[in-house]
Amino acid sequence: MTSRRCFFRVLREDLRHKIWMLALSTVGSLLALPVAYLIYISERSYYLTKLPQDAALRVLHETACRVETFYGAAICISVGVVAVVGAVIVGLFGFRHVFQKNMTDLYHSLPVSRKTLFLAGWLNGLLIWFVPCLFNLAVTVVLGEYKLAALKKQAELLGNQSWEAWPSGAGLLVETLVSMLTILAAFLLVYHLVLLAVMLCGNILNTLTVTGIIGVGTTVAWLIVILFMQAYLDTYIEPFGAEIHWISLTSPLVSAVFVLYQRFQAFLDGDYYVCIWRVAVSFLMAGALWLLALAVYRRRKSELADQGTAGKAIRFIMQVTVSLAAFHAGWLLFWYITSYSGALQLIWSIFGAVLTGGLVFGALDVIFQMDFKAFFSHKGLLAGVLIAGLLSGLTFRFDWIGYDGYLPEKEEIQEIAIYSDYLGSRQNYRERRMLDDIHIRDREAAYAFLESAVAVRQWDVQSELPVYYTHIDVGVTLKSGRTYYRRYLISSNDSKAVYDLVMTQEYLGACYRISDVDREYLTGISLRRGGIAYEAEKLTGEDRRRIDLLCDAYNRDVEENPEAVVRGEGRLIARIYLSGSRESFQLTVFEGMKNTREALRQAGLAYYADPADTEEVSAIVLSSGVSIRELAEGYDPAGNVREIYGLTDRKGENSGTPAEPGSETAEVRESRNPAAWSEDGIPAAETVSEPLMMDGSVELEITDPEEIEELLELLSYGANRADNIFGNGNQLYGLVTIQEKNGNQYDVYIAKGSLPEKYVLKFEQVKEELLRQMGR
Amino acid sequence: MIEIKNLSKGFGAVKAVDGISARIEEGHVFGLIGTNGAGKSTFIRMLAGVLKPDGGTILVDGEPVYDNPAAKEKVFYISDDQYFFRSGTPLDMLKLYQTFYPRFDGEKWRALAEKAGLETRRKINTFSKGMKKQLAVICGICAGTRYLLCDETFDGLDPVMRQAVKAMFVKEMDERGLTPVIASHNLRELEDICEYVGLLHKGGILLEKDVEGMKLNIHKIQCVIRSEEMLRKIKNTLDVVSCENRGSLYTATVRGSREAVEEFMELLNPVFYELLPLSLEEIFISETEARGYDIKTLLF
Repeated sequence: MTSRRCFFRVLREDLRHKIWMLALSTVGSLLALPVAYLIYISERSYYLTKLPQDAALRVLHETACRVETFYGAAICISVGVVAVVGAVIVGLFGFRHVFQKNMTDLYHSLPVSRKTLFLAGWLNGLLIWFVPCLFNLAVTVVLGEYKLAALKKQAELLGNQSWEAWPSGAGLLVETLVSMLTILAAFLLVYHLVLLAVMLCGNILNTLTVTGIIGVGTTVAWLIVILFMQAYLDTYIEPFGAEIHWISLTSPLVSAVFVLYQRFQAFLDGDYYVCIWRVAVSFLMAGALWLLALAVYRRRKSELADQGTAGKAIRFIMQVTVSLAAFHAGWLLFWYITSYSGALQLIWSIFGAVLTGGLVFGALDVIFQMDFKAFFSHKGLLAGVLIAGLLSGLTFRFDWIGYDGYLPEKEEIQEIAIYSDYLGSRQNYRERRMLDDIHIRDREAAYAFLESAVAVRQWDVQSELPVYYTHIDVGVTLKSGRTYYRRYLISSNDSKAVYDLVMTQEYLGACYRISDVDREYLTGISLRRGGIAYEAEKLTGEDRRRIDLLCDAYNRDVEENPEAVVRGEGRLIARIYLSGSRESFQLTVFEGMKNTREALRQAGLAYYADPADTEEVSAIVLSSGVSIRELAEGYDPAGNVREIYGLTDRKGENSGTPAEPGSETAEVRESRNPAAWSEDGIPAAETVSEPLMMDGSVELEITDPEEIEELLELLSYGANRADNIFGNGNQLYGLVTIQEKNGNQYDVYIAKGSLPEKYVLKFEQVKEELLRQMGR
Repeated sequence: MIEIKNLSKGFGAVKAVDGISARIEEGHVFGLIGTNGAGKSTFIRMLAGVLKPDGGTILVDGEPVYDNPAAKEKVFYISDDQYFFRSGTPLDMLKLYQTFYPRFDGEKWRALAEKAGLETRRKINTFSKGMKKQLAVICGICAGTRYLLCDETFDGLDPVMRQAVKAMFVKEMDERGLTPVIASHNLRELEDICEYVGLLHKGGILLEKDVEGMKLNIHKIQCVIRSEEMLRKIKNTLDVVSCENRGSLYTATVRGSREAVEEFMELLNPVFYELLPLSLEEIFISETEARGYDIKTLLF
């Protein structure tokens, strides 16, 4: 028989026994494609005739975009799930003959090479999934193209002229092609992974176990290490970001999910580069797995059928690594669930680790040998694994490697990068990527900083926490080329060392200035003064102009007066939020930032450029944090007021003049809640026309213009960041409410300890008045 | 011809086949007999190309058989637990074998199945064990291969079917030089049909001879001796495989030509002696007993 003829005959014969898979695949892709599409699109059935023209056009456009979204993104979920499940099924059952001794005997005695058997089985598996999928995809694309054309026709009838923003038929095909390539890559990754596991194993249980271990093993192990480091190493920075993408390349199952996710993302953010790169890598990985599976099948011993897993070395590696991972996972689990137990936490962690590690080790022995009695068949190795795990766990727990306290020699340091999203305009939430963009080569400053950072950590360990502190991410590149990363807790006492680094041009440029490139990716702007916000989610030309004006001015402030920006000179009077598809920014405007404030005025946003004027304000309300009910029960609001506003002097000898009882500037404020009042059965005071709201708080309303002016000088529109270690001790703020004459009402802040004592004493009047109203 | 040289195969610590060398000539029935666990099935699976030998070579008509379709085309393997498709019918098996064996004779297959009374559209899982064996043998005969490897194939066949299968083998041997290789415990069955046998014990081959030659070269002597000296002479002069007695009646299994043994016994002149032929089963027992596989050690 010629080999080609033989191959196709084998292919046909093999397919004859897999008709059930074909049927299953057809049903799966039918549900995932035309049915899912029709469900997806049926949500958009509007009564267009009842809508105004603009609204109708908008709905038609949204529907057209939704059609495109199905092929560009939604398909990755629906068909992606079918592909992954399908890959497992065709992989697992496509070579079923290797799991059964008499079936193996039959197939391996037939006059056909193993290579041909493999190729026929593999190709059938691929075709079983792909052909029905392709057929259903073609049907779905036809449906989509028809729908798109119909929508465009409707829009045309409604007078739509511009088709620029509308998805095109060709675009739909391209999106579908990219999605299908991605799904095919995911399918092949999982399919070939399962095939490799099938070739290594003698039954389905072992195959699934090995698939799991190879499929997600390295990623899970990596996550466990990360969690361990997070749990025990104070200065560890989670490397989530690019690392998870790289590490996932070593785990085919995770990689399959990632490639689908990145296709999804690419459609949403238009960044196809990463997606295409990932698809290409996935095909390469799938190819490597395919070659490996073929090689293993050609060398596979027939006697493995009905047995466990092939190869002592493979079993050893898997058993040891999985057991060690389980050991550490058990440690972490018990560490988290016994966090209340103090000193016993370590004992519980070790207990959990030994239990989990031992159980997994034994279970793997049972699975690999297919013998329940094999649970303790490798006692020596089990003991070795437990001891190794214990040593590893304790190494983390007690930092025997000196991770946290590591300080290189000054001469070894090449450059340093520091980053804290509290010290900059970016809102990156501590992405380690930022550290790669900063290169500060001042070795003296770097060493001084590292020295104080390590010292603070030790100080912290001694439970003598500084009053103000912040976490700062650090990347240190040594002359050897190695870069290490840490997250240090820096106290305000050591702020000088940080300040020296922050004030470098490298840091200001990377963390404060907003570049032209940054501006290109901005998608929205909003401003806040107190509780009032100006928001623009879709930027118009005017907003673009404003953004350019504000960014230029902000950059000038950073350049000319960086201290005002970094330390926060004067009161905080506004915040400018710039949201972007790549990065978002928060520009904090202090009184000392003259350029930015001027730009706000020029941009027609003067309201945000200056603090509120006395003329604008009708009242300032101070809250005691004590409810009227608590007052009725004998609770003194003055004590609470002191606590809220940071006044430690309980008698007020050091503060302003106490107001006269009954002064016209002090008014009793209470909310109204008749139901709550009557339910409690407390009689209403005769002088009060409505019953007091018992859950309302005891508040002091300042209406006197002089007092308003006095207080406005003390107010800040946003609390200074609590983590700003450059502050002078005023970081903690109390809440105050401003009522403007135009009806606006919003909360602002007053630095703790700065409220004149006289206002505290006025709460005594409020208390007396309320008690009088209650008839006490 | 199948040529086996120094063949060995182990499963973990167990050595199933250890250094076997043999030649299976074409056109003859080769019987493979052996003790339990001797390695017969392993040996046959290696001949079929299912198992890869750890050492040694198997050449089918000069070609190695493992993962070699050209060599495997000449071999059909019927295992002791032949696989049939779940919910499959004999016709499904026909299609399978027709796909892989280019010389498979479908017409002959239908004729034989009909003669054996096998319903070709009935699900095989409703067949009896014997019917499944019949189907396997029919498939094997119709595959058109030169060598037919049968592992315990006669077990489960009724006497009529056994005779029918034997007749089929003989016919195929005559017509196209089929070489059946039959592994079995049922030595009486093999005795009728086998021309050559290989005796396996503990993974090694004890002997490999033609049956007639084997029978001519081993004999059972029943004699009543006059003295202990006479017994000593028998043991020292003849190649005694085993010897036992009931009172003064001694029974010895000896190797050598009938003429030489008769001549010696005549000269010895015991009270009484008789030379009896050995059945294949007795030869098997004698040979394995000589290697310590003794019924007495098993029972007592």
